[in-house]
Amino acid sequence: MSSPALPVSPPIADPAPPASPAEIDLSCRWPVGLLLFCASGWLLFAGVVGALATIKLHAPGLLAHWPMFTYGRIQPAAWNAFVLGFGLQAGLGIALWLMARLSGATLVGTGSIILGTLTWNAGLKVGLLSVLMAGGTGMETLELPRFAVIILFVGYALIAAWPLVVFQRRRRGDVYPSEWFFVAALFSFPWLYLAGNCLAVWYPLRGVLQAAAQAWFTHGLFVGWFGFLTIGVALYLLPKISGVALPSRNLAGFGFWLLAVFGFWGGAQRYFAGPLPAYLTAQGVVATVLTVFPMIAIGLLVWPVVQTSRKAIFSVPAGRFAVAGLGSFLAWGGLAAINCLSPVRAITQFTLAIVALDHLLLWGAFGLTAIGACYYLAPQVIGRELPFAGWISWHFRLATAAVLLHVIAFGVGGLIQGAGLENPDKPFIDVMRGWIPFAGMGTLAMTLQAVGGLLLFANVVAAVVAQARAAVVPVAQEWLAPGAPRAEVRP
Amino acid sequence: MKPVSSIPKVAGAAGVETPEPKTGNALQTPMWFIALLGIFLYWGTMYLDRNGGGYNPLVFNRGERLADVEARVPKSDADLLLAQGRKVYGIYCVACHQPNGRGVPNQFPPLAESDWVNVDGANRLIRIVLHGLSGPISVNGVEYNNVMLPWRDQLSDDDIAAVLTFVRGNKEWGNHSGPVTAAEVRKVREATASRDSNWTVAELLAIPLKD
Amino acid sequence: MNHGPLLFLGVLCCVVASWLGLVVGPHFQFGNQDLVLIEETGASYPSARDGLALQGAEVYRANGCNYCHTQQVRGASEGADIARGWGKRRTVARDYLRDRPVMLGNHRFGPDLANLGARQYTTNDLYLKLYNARLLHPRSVMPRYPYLFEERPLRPGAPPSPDALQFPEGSAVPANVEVIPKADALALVAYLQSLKSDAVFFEVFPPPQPPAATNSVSGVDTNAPALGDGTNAAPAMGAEAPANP
Repeated sequence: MSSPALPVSPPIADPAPPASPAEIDLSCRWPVGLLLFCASGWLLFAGVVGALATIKLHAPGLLAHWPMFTYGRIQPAAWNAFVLGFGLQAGLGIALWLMARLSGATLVGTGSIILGTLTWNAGLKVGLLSVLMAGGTGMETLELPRFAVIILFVGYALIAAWPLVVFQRRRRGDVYPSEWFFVAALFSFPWLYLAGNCLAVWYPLRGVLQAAAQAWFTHGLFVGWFGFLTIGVALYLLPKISGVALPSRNLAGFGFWLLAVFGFWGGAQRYFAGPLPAYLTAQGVVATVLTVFPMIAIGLLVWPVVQTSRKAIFSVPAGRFAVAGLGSFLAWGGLAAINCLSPVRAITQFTLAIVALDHLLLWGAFGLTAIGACYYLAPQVIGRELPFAGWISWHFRLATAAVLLHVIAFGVGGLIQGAGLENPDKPFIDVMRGWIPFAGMGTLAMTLQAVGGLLLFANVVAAVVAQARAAVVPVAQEWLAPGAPRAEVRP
Repeated sequence: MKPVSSIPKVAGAAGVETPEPKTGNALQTPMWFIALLGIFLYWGTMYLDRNGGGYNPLVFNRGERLADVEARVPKSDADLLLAQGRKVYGIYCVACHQPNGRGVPNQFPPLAESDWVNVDGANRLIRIVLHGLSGPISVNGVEYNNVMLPWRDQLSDDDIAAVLTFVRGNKEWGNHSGPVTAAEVRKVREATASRDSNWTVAELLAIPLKD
Repeated sequence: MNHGPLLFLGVLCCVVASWLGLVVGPHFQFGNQDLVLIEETGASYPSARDGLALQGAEVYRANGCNYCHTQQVRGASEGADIARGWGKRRTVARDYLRDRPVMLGNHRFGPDLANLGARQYTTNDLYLKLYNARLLHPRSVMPRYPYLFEERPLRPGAPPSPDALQFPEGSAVPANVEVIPKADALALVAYLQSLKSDAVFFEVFPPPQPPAATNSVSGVDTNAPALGDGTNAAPAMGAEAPANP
């Protein structure tokens, strides 16, 4: 920490040299490995349940006798499984490892992180079960009931404190831009989630103010967690893989602060012409359009890196994932701004196109980047090769194809749906039938995502099992060998 | 098929990991970026000004202002007459009879809850406004002795009808009497055209309350 | 930007500023809006829901109806909602003062429901829609909700229950089975029939209807009926749907 008297000195409190990558990986092994394992499991679950939910859009009779599989329950379950199961845990796992690596300090608090991960998963499971059993709160992205959210907060605090501790113990002079984004995301999420839950669900404001709070929260989560983490991970992976320095620290800082200043003001534009006063939606429009500028800054920053070492980046799956993810993120920013233009939004509002836009951010931008980062760090953290390394490229193809297919199908279907809705002479039933084929394509896309999730999950599980066997088997053999002296169990 | 490794390949010597990434200074923030940002910031303020409804929570339609909303409040002719009467009262009457219509004790008699105002018919009131009043008058049992100016040259028939409607129908003052029309005022004005002095109470009491 | 506290404070300011501007500010600005007294009737608007309708709102929430249905009407210049007969005017903040939670919805995979209670649905129609929407509109994609109903065999000789659903002619329903709405279905339909955003607010005073409007809702005082059956040309309807016996 810097002393108050010398605020400009580089904050090197610990004169010790940075820890070696091998030490850091070893310190991350169990906590980050557990988070990766859980995150990949939730990715698979979100893919399967998401596919099931999308099927319900075009085959509503499926499983109709089961209340828990009705669209209005399974859709929020799939959404929350992705956001809180994969999004939060993958984000936390990546943040823990990257913060340790970039700070040059070993990870501390592993017991707390493991406990926190177990707590988080327990809270998420009871919460999702409650949503499926009719306990959802009815506010999008805030569906989990109160008791589950409180468990989630405990889990989050147990995990998220440690990357910040590591950050404070950093042994490198300059803070790398990725760390700004991680710190910002780690601070933003609890604030957003607590304020969103309090004002929209626990102690709801009056009337449409609940919707305003929910819109603020959702958009804040999109930018403050998924956006910040996508950029942070991409800004690490691309220079790291290519060995090329990030070309401008100033531009990175400029982009960071622009995103922080403009990004959180969006959200209300979801209620164009709805029951929110005009100024709220107008603010949402302006913020969303201005959020394009941090995107441009990040694009300018990353373009030279990708340009000069395209071959090196594309030779590593994580590099391909990161490029595709960051590309999706920039595309999301641009499309979200275009969606604010009044002729466009009149068509897209309330349609599949909005779903496509959200999908592009969650599964496209964050999903691809985070999956790439998982593949990048899993073998290093777990300490051995992933057993099915050949599948990684297949997962990349599946995941990018799925995102493209989903976004294009829902985008086109949404435009058709919107054009139909805007034509009052077209019977509503015809409008509905018009987008059904596109929902079918969405099911295909979600199935591809589920298969891809299976590839990641199988790889992580197999690697963890192999590593655990390697750690346990010699000890067990020693124990089970008749007459052998009992050795201390090594951790 | 050749075996694939999942250990990330990184640039640099084989088997040695590249150092953690650094930032350089190869790229200057381009000027066009700053300029474009400035242009869009300006656009943003303009957009908010045009479509923000003046930050008023009653404005919902894009591009409207509170005035547009208030213009939609349905208005009857009676509302317009009252508004005009309030205006006339504020110019000509408020100095003596006061904003609350209670007058000034011992100097100017009250209009609020007055037994001269709340009567069935405005014949005497119209005459007072046209030609003024002088001498003692008893209002609600209290004696006043002062002079009220004539307004026949300043106020049109419409103005007098409006202000009397406003005074007689002013619920805030506790008055609940009926409106006065411009036609009534014109009739009285024609009937008293030759008069050039203030009324006295005795003269007024000789005139019927209504025709 | 090598200082953790500076970073933290900066991000905190950004988040808090947006929170103040988008949530807290509006709360202090119009969070204290009052119910509106309608002078003609002496009732306040939005009107209070009775106990059954409040339970129905819980059923609506629990089954996530708001993931397919919106409860908001856009203005005439911003969409075809009014032309479709989903309301006479756009909805405003004061329409939702009693809703908890407010379920505006973001997707229209089904029609808007903000004024469902003012449309031409009998109670039986609404039950049929919930039980199997394709009984009324063969091409509907609304899921069935059979778990809101009890299917029980008709006792031979005994008269059918008065609460049983009346199926339309020609629907393929076994003759020896009657379908009785469960408590959840009763509550949900009561809630759906309580959905009305029809008070005249000067914020959004409905614009005068042009004499030759493009379709059915020209110049009359109600919502056109349901759109699920593919028609939006229908005579104006005044009253609420009659209650089921």
